Amino acid sequence: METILNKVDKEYSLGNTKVKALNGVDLIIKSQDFITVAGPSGSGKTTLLNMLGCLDTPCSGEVLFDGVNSNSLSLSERAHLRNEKVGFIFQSFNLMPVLNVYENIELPAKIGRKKQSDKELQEWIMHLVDSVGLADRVKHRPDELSGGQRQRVAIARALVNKPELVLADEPTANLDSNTGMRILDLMRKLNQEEQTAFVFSTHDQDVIDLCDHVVRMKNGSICN
Amino acid sequence: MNSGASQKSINPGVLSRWFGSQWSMVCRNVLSQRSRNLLLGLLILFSSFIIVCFSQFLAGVSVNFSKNLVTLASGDVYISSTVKRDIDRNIFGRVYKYFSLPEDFYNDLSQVDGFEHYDERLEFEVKLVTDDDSLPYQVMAFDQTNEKKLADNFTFVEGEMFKPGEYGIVLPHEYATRFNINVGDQVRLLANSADRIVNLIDYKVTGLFKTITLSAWFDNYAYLNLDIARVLIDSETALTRLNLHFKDRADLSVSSAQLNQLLKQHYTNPSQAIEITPWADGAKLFEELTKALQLSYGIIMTILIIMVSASLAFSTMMNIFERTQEVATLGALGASPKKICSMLVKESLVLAVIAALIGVTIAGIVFAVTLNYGIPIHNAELKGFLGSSNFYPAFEVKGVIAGLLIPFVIAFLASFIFANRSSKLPIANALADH
Repeated sequence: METILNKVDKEYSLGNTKVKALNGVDLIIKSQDFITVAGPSGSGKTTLLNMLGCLDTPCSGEVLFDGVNSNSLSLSERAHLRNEKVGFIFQSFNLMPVLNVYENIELPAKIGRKKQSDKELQEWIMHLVDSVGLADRVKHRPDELSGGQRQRVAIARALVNKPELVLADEPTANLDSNTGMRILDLMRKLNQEEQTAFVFSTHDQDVIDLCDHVVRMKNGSICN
Repeated sequence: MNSGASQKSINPGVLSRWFGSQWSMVCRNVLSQRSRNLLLGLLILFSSFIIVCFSQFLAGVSVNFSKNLVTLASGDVYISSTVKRDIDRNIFGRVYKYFSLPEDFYNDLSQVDGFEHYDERLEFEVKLVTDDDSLPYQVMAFDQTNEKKLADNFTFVEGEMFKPGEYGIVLPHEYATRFNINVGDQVRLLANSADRIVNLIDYKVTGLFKTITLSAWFDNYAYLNLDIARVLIDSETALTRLNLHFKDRADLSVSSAQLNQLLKQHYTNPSQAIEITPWADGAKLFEELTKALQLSYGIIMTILIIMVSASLAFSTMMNIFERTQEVATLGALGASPKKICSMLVKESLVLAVIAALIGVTIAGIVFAVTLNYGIPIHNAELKGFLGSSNFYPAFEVKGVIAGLLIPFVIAFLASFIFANRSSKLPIANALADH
């Protein structure tokens, strides 16, 4: 999938003050990209990721997913696009507390339209579970897991629908450095093995060093 | 990668379809969010319990009260004259409605299905002549030895009930006070006899009463002994009303038809037509009181429903808005607003059904226990109103349906409104806010 941001502006209102989160951003994300969006807090990293993940719509400009403008899609169509094409890894994991590891990973597949049989899906989930090293934790609930294990569940969940783009908002922010590096290695491996594009937002230098490209942001604009 | 080995340790297809997984999540959310769902569940349970209990108790009041008045006033069915008002009046404007039934009729009453007993009543207008004045008033005569319950219905402020065979009269306390009549006074009653001549007899005031039925109806009469009243109207068998009492489960339409047949057979007075009336058809007072009870039920119910609705809506709103991040995450993972809304509504409904069923069940247990033992009444007026020293509720199916349906509908509407709003919140904002 090719995702294009074309002169994207995004403005928020904070009381009477208007804050420009994105200012004429142009960006192209291609498959197999492994990109970091870096910059200080408030530079627009998360807003950019929200645009790429179709979680938000621009005030002006366009966000094109394989040539389809996100503004032309209904809420349900955007939900469908997110489900099929995009995987999300949140800084605070956002796992469903009532579901166990297996079910959390399975959730996006069950939300979406059926593309594979139950058996195929089960095999794929178990492959992901093994990939993130949680084979012995499938029946555990999120509150029974460490931060690193939860993040690994979130990664597996992001990959379950075989998305073409995975967006990770500060994926190592809540992890110690060793766990963070192991998670990044895993993502790199999945990027190479599954041909999935990864876009991170971070100001962690270790993450920046590991990526192929760095998009530097300041005051809502891309600097490089 | 060792997926094969791991597959053995899990139960495949736990969330076999989205529909299945949604119900699975719904049930787990209901069970796992214990503290917040407990409050909401208790609220629904309490609402159902109160609605059902209230309706059963109110139905009990209606039934007890009706039974009491049926016993005291009209019987299940009564026979009275069909008064042709335009011709059956004398020069004083009084209505003649005396009639007599032959002894054979009374003897054959036992053949009527479900018949228990009868009470004869004589109700007529008099002039009550005191030393200073002549006051029009209504008199009711009854046999106090047969109608013990009616005799006990009076609370005497002064004096007592007249003795059988005594030329005594009891008067409402308020009326006697207004016209300065005291216990022991002699009053003269002037009345039209059955033969349409005027009679005048002295009676001794034996008591001044207040009725405890809460019904002003009983206070509209002065009371005499039936036999003595018959002396005044110069007829040994005259009556104006024959109250007939039937067993609880008797079919009154069948019994009325049989009574009609009996009357045709035994009553042959062409100048005074009589008719059979079921108590409910003939008593406007009952209708008005029942309507008043229903109105009060409606008002209390409306207040209750508004309070329950507001509390339920508020709790549901808090429940849903507390879960904004969860809702936003589901949206980010690709669940459409419709699916998210449906999941949240289902959660509310599952909770509402479980809590309402428990509430109705508890109300049912309370109903069964109180029906068995009754609730002792210590208040004399309430005792008189209900005609019993114990209160018994009555089964009211509408109340059970309302107890189940009202919390269910409120839970549905409240959850739908707030879930619909919540599921359409901008996902990026919802995630950022948490």
